[in-house]
Amino acid sequence: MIDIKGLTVRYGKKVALDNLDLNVGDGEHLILMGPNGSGKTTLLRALLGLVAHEGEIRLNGKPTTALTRRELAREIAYVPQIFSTPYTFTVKEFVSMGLYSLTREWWIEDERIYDTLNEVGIYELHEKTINTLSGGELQKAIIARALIQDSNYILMDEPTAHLDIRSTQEVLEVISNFRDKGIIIVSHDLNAINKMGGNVLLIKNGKMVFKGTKAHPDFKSRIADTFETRISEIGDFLYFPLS
Amino acid sequence: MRFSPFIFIIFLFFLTIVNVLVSLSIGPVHIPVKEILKNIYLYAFNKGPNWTISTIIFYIRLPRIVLAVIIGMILGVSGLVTQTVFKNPLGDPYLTGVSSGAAVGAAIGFLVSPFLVPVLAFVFAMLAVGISFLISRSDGEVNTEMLILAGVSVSFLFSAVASYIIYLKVANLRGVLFWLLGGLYGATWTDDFWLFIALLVIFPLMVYFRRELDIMLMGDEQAKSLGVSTGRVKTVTLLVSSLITSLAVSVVGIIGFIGLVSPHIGRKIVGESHRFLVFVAPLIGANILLVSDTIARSTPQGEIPVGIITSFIGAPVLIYLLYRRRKM
Repeated sequence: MIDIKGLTVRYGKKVALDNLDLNVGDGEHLILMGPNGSGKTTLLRALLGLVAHEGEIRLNGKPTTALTRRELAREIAYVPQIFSTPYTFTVKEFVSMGLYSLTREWWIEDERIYDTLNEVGIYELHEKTINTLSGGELQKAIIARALIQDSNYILMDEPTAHLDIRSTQEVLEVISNFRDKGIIIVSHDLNAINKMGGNVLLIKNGKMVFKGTKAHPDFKSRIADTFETRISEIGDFLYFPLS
Repeated sequence: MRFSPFIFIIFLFFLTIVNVLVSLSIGPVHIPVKEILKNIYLYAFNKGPNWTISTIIFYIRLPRIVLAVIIGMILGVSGLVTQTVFKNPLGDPYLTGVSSGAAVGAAIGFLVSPFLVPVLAFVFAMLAVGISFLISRSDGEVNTEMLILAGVSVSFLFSAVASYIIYLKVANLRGVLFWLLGGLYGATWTDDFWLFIALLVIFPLMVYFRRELDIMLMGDEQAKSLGVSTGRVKTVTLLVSSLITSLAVSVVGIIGFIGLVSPHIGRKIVGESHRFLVFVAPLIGANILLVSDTIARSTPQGEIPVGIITSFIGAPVLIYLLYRRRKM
């Protein structure tokens, strides 16, 4: 259970998150939406202990500031926005980095790594180097690295950005299998959001403006308000049948 | 080209031994390798070795050769850590101000008394490093981007001071220049002992941190989210490598290019993983410095500063590696 109370993050004079209250239950899937600069990524960064914040973030009752990095990594894993990398780690080496918080003897954990790669569907890539992967393959490797951390929560920053339709579908399928994990996903991809279950959280200017399901009667109008556009313009995207 | 890392490490180990033997045989008096092995055996078991040869081996050539191996290893592993922590392929262990600080100390030393050169070089190197670290602290952590800029700025400042002293005050210009370009001519078993202790500090530490160093290549944000205390790792590794490098510089002067080029060669052969690189980079450094020093002490002109040779070998290698990377 993530329990956020009065969370405020400032970058200099700019207030990125303004007195935010939020609960995320165990196993809850939460989609985080909001305009650019609304504070979505800052919320993820605060949860990961990457930015200084006011207010309190409690994990199962314990404030995150009282946890070491290693302890926090056992609770919350992170799937960053896809990146390009010059490094020639193999997929296996890369995914094994997720074991850091759990063990110092990562080289005896082959089975665990292969199981995770299978779960995400990229076992056959384990000897390829990460600088040669396609966007979809790398995204799945990043997800595998977070998955092997064996945490209760995974935070994902735009997991379907820059992916083609097929890769998006595959990544979404992988994510939808994480039923026992709490997941917070930042996304702008309306098609993807449409496919995902769970609640939607809308934030704007560092404040929460809506939390509820996509079936909520106000959902569409709140989205239109938040993004300052008309329902008719987003209507075509939302509930666009993907399959 | 990527070899099996284990085999390559074993290969480097034997290459070092071969290099040591070859280097032992080269000098004003040529001693065949067979003769060396025979004398080592006779000396070790106290069976009446040839004392002339033994003296040359154990009191003249070996201390210097051992020093080359130790210093090469220190520079190789420090260079590796610097490049990784700064995420900068041009990183070398002098980046935090070590070399220019040491130059100021050495210049003052030549002014006052040559015996003070090593001590003052070490003290001023640490002073420069200390200033760089103080400038680049933010939120109780070392900010590596700031540290590069601070190191460069501090280096310029200390270089200016060193140049001023050398240009206006120092009479023994040739001596200073020789020191600045680095040389192992003064090697003694005492030097070897102390630098071996230094190697025993830095090397196991970097082996211990090999996992963290791998993960930190992915960037601070990811490393932290995976559970790495990046601030602590950076501070400890950079401080220790600066300290140990300062110690090395205070004994042998500023030997360039080893710290820069050894990790690059290592990466080309065994890949990025520090699990292997922490062994490979120092062994490559040891071999380059040993070969360079053997050349430096046996040119027709007599002894020349080893820094000249390492740059002559290092620069083309680096250019070749960059050229290969561009073609990829």
